[in-house]
Amino acid sequence: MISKWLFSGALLFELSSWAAFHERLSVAQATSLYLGAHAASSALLAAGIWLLLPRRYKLPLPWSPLFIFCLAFFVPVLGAVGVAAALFPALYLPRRRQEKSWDSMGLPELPFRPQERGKELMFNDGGLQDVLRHAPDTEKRMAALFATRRMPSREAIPILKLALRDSADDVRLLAYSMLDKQESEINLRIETALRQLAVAEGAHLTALHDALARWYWELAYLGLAQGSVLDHVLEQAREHAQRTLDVPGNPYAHVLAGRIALEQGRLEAAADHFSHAEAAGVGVPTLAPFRAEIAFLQGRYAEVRQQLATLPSETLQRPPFAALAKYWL
Amino acid sequence: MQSETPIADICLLLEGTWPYVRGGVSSWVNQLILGLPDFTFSVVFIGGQREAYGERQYRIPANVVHIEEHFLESAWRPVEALGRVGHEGAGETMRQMHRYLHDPGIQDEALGEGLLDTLASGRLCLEDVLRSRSSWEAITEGYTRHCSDPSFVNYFWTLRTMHAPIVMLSQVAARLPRARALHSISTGYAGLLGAVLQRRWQCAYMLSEHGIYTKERKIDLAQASWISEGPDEALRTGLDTEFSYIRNLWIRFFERIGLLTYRAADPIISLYAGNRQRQIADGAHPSRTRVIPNGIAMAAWTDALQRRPAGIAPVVGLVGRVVPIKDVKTFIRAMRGVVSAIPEAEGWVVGPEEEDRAYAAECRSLVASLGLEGKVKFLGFRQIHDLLPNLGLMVLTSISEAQPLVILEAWAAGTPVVSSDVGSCRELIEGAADESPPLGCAGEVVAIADPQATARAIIGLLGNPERWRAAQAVGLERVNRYYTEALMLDRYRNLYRNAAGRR
Repeated sequence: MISKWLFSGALLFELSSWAAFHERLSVAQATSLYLGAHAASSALLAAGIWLLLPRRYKLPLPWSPLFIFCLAFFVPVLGAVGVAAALFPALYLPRRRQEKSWDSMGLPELPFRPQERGKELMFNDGGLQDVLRHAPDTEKRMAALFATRRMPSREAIPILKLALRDSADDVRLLAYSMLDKQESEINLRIETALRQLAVAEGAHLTALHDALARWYWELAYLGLAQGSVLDHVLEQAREHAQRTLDVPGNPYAHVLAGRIALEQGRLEAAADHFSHAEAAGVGVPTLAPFRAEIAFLQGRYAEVRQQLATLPSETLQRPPFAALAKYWL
Repeated sequence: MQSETPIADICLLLEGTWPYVRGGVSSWVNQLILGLPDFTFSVVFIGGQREAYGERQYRIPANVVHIEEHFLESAWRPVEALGRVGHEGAGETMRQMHRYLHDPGIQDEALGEGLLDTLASGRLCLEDVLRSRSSWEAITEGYTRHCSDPSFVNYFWTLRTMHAPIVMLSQVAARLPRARALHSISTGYAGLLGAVLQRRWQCAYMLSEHGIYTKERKIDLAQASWISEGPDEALRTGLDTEFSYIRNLWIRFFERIGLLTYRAADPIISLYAGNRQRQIADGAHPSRTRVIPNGIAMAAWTDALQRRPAGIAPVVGLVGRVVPIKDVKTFIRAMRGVVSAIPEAEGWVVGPEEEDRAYAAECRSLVASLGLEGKVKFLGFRQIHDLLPNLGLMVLTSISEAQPLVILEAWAAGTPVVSSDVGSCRELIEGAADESPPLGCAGEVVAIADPQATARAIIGLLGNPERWRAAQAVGLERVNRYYTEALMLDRYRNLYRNAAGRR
């Protein structure tokens, strides 16, 4: 806006400078009037253009405005017209800027930079439980707890339970809140599913029963429930799993029901479920470990061996089967 | 710095407690304000989000002459999303702030002092922190130098979230009406505000900590799911203990503002010796620390002994909310052993069950599965005055406590206590190391989550009238001598008098 006023001012002054030639004035008066008005006009023009210039042309002062002023002042008319012709289109109709405000970058492949590492950063041999039992330093026991965050829950939970009896308040509280977090997450899912269960129908209903059976089973499997609570949780899991069995197309429902029964000690029922699962198309190697367990619990040790032998050889080479294979086969 | 006349004797700085939340600290604050009617208080309440706090839970007493509330979240809602950009900002100030709060290496006292000076001057504005060039430079410098999390976006927004409340507190400090002395009930944001105000007003600044704020924050942050983990974090499988850089950034932030509070405050008060040691370990100067335990009003308990049934009632009570942190299950399991040894014994669980119904249900099913129906009863919430004299023994199986008042109340009612070894329980029951003359044991301390040991302790006390009577006598003596409300209020009255420089 200011620039427009400045340009209008510049035009007025320039026009009025021409008046100096029409009035009957002395040469000196006419010259000074003309020069004064012309200079004012040039200055206003330079100021107006300077305001519009991109930042990199604006500075340093006084060079860019001085240059425009000189063009306009020392080349009367033509200079001003030239400046206007050269700059105005550029200023008012700038070249389309390349619209590229962001770059997409891949994640750095290697670690972004070396991480700060503590001096003893890993608990290699001792095992976290031993650290918790024997490390005299509270910080170290805390660190052992933090290390469980990246472990599978099933392995982490016995360690956290151990830490609940730690002598230091910090360690106990941390273990407590870590356990609580795991448990509340599952309980929340169960609660949500139970609420949906009240209104669900048809396929959705079966899916919810399946989910509930799995979450209850998870509580038991992870070791979050114990004693009478474990019994309760397993019973809930069984009831929900039962509702999913008649629906075709989910052979693994029988596997879950079988595992629950196995955990509850109902071995016959478990064996039944596994047979159903096999009939429904679940692979024999998936069922073999559970069948071996049933056989073991029933004291039919020869069958343990038979069952383990059906496992593919690469499965037998990795834990937890490696040790079993070594003993039984 | 200012010479306006004080409107109150004591300015209380409260973070997330009185008058909005019920609980240990809040009732203590209420007790303090009501118990010292000859002092006037101004109160600054600091909360996270407005919506998280409902109605006020306490009536504001007459000696609270001023109360204002600030919510950290509101520090953070710039009205104009795109305002003027790129003003310079105070370069040195920003650098100082970043280096003190976020530099992993250095911990320079002078930097902290400088930061407090800046905050106390009230010069810092939100524009400086959120939109100035120097703030941008300090952030990018910190990122390129120290940050091991590849996400600049995470780093950038984390720092903004940290700094906006600090500016808000600095502005709160500039507007707050003057009081004669400051008293903060935690470190953290309230503690930082106290340190800034102390710098402004040049007055006494007391700090009372019930729990240890920094420690609690650390445990929260270690697990907070709102801190985004870098994508490579999920892929790490080693059993290393490293936190992500952003998590560490938050932990460091609270540690450093805690340190500012510890350096400014004198005295630094804790409830028991264990917490005092903790404060010292966290940077409080030992000579400034002191212990002022909580106390209970003894007037209500004068007739409690008369109301006791004759002999030793074979009733064992757990008084507290039925929530996992009280570990009610251990109590129930212990009762199994007790009932086996003393068939007429009963266990009462006294406390509301609404907070965690699932847990309460689990406890009930545990009672059923252990065959303790009719032996372990859930009484719900009861008036503690009527209840405690009926107990032969009170048991506390908590996983964590600071200084549980219910132990003191049990003693006042003539009931010995068996407690897990948490917080100040050992100090309470066995007596402080410097207790003279040593009074003896007012019950027994057992390991946490150990039903067998708890049962042994209960049987040992209930089955041995001599020991029981000795423990009762010690409990009564100890609570009267060391843990009365009058004593606690006296100590604070003296502190306040000295601090407010009057009378």
